[in-house]
Amino acid sequence: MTLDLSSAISTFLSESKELLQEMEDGLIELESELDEYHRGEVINAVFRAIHTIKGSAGIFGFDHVVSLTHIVETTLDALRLNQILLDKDLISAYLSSRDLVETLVELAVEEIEPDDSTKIQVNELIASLSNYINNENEEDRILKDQPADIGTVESNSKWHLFFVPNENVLRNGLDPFAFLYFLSNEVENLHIDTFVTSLEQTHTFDPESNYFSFHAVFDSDKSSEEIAEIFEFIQTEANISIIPPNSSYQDIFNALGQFPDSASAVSMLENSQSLPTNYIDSIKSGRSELETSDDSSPSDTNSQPKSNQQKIHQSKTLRVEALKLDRLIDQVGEMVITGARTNLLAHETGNETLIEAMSLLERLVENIRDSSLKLRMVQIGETFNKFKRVVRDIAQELGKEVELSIEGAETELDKTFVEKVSDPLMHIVRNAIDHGIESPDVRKQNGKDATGTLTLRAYHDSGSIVIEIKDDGQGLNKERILDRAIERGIITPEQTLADKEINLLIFEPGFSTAEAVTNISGRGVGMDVVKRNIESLRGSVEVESKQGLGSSISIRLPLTLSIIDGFMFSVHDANYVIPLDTVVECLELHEVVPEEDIQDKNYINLRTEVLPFIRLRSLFGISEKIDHSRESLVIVQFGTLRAGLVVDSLKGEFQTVVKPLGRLFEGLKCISGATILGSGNVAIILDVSALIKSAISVYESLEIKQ
Amino acid sequence: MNEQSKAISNSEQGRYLFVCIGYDTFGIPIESVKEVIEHTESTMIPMCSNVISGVINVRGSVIPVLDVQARLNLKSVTPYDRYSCIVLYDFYDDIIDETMTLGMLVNSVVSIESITSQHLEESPSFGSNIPRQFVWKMAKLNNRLTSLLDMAKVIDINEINQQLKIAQDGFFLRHCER
Repeated sequence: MTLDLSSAISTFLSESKELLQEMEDGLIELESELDEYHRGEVINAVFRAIHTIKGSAGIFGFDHVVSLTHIVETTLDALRLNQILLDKDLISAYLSSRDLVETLVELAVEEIEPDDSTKIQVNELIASLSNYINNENEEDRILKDQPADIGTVESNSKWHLFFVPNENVLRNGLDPFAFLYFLSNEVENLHIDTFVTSLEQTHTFDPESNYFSFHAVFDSDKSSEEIAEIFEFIQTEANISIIPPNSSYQDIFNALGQFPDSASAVSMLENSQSLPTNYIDSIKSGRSELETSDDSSPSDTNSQPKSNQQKIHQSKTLRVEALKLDRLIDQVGEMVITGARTNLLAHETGNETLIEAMSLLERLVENIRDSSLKLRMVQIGETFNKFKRVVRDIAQELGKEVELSIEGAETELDKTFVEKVSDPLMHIVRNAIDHGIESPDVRKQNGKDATGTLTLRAYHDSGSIVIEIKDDGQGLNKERILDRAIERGIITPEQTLADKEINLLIFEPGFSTAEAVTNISGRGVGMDVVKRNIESLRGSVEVESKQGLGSSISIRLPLTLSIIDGFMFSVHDANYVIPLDTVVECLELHEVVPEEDIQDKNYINLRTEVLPFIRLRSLFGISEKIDHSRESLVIVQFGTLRAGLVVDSLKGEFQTVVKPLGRLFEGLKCISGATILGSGNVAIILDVSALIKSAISVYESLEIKQ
Repeated sequence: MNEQSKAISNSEQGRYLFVCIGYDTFGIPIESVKEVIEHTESTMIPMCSNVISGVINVRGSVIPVLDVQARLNLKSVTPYDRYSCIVLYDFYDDIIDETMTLGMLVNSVVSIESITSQHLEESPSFGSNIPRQFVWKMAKLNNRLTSLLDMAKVIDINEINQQLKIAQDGFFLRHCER
């Protein structure tokens, strides 16, 4: 092949995946109760998805994909016309076809012939789907009984000629019919469709104008040049397209574009039955695509509300390479740093107008930063929707009844998170269904609804994103977890643990209380990976559980990774940044507590509330002390944890471009990165929550030793 | 880096940057030296072992700086002065599959020397002032013996990382015990 199709094929692959996901979403939706109108819409969407895949696969000659999608399409078409009934089995068959199409597409793209077992699966599915329409459509049945034929695209063995004389052809003394007459003498089996256009406005009718155009289908062994010669004299006065046999639908589609009213031309073509049906379908779908991208054809939108809908959907998104976006964000980061430096220099000059202009610029830079960061934000709904299928499949496999409810699907988070959080979520969901939700019988005995509910919820909470996976199952069994943890040597029998700590044991490596290892969970790998993955994203996991009532796991993630709003302070002449949204308030230390009160203890009484604090000078091992009256207190909150940090001085808000520190500092919990200040110096970004949590755990271990 | 050293020995010639660390001169394979910059003030990393002298900003990237005296475990510490330099050393980290840059703080830069296999001697079996693992070979040049560093060992990320973690735990313990 001389053409380089690789980029087209990769587009096909990503497009197919998207369409298959759409199809899956639609199918899952069809399983629930829907009103008639909505149901029709969804079936149409599923049909469109599979139809487009079939069309594209046809172009690349991916026969296996075409044969499977064809039967799916045919049954869906019957479904659209209410010729067959949609039941659970049919949806299951569609879902399996969806998976199989995905496999076939992947194989086809890599130019691997599917193995025998895949082929058998395909044939079984084709057979079972054919059963649905066997009685309905005799023609289709014959098609299905010859599986060998299904693989090949219906071929188009005739010549097609589109002859569109322009309006002035008659005035210029040329007679289009003469040419067609001549053609009829030259070729065999000629069939001509005549199209009449623009005749509805009778008052503007001009008898000297031409309103006709023609589509001719014929057999001939002449070359295209010889046929073109027939029309030589009218060439300048007409659009002529000659399409040899076995051309792709694309050529016909392009030729159709010459017709003044291509919509009616298509419908005429369809009625004339001069083209194989798959060509017509492809042309129609191609046409609707053209319309959606073509804003200048508003007159057609009324008659085609379906394509209009598609248009709205398409204009909503724009596909951009992730790399380009990353580069943009890097550049914005550089701009923020340089901006800070320029601002510093402007202040040094003391020039008021310059400072004013600079602050305006700073504000603009801030806006650009926010908008470019938003580009990377995606709604979590898409990820959640994938779980509909997962939940359905696992529940079916385990004989449980589970309903998935999704809340906060519109919550946005960084694209990198979406990818990395998907696997941990999968583990948690599997575990929740396997261990959490009881079988319908047990649930009834316990006075619960036979159908369990699994809730996926996402929401923003003080600068972080929380994803909550909640089930109304049996909850965590504390005794069993403790027994198992002791048995596995994770804890010693003497240890007494708070409820929260017991719950967190499920994240220990090698931990599983499942009596039997199932396909789905129980091997004890997974939950520890979940915790590790989340922590690598600077997030945290919390578990809550009430025995008999269910459990909920919350994953807390920071909003973005690259640029944050920071709060800067200094300790011993070094600057440190913490995320601004963890800061609750700042106080002068001497105003809230006299020096003698905190000589030997590390907590203060703040408005009758106990607030433990960490003196960073002492933690950082700086022996030199500063005057108590100069120290400041930064109060931070993380989840339910509130604590104070005693620092030397406050520097205020600071737009922070997070620079990773690399693998050298990996696993150093308290340091989450570095940033470059306007002066060109580096400031360290502290991970406050890890800092405080580490301190707590060290305090606790010291207490146990005593 | 071992491979690099091997490549040098195979081609029987290699160029080395001679630097002064403490009172001694050491050789660093020059292929991976990106540049040598003046000893700018670096930002201390809190709760960090003295192996890392801090981080610096090199044209917008934050680069950690290794205090080579501390890393080589030299008994006496020579203070850094205006002759001190930071050698930016590129190396390939196969775990993250990326090239990393690390700064190495040395007391001064001496010279660039071409070393062929005739110059090479085995390192002494004992008596060296630095742990033997850090020395790849000795170079005999102008009647002086210079240790050529085995950079893979000197900048063993995992080992340094481990050292830093232990140091950090120590800081927490000292703080909380007080």
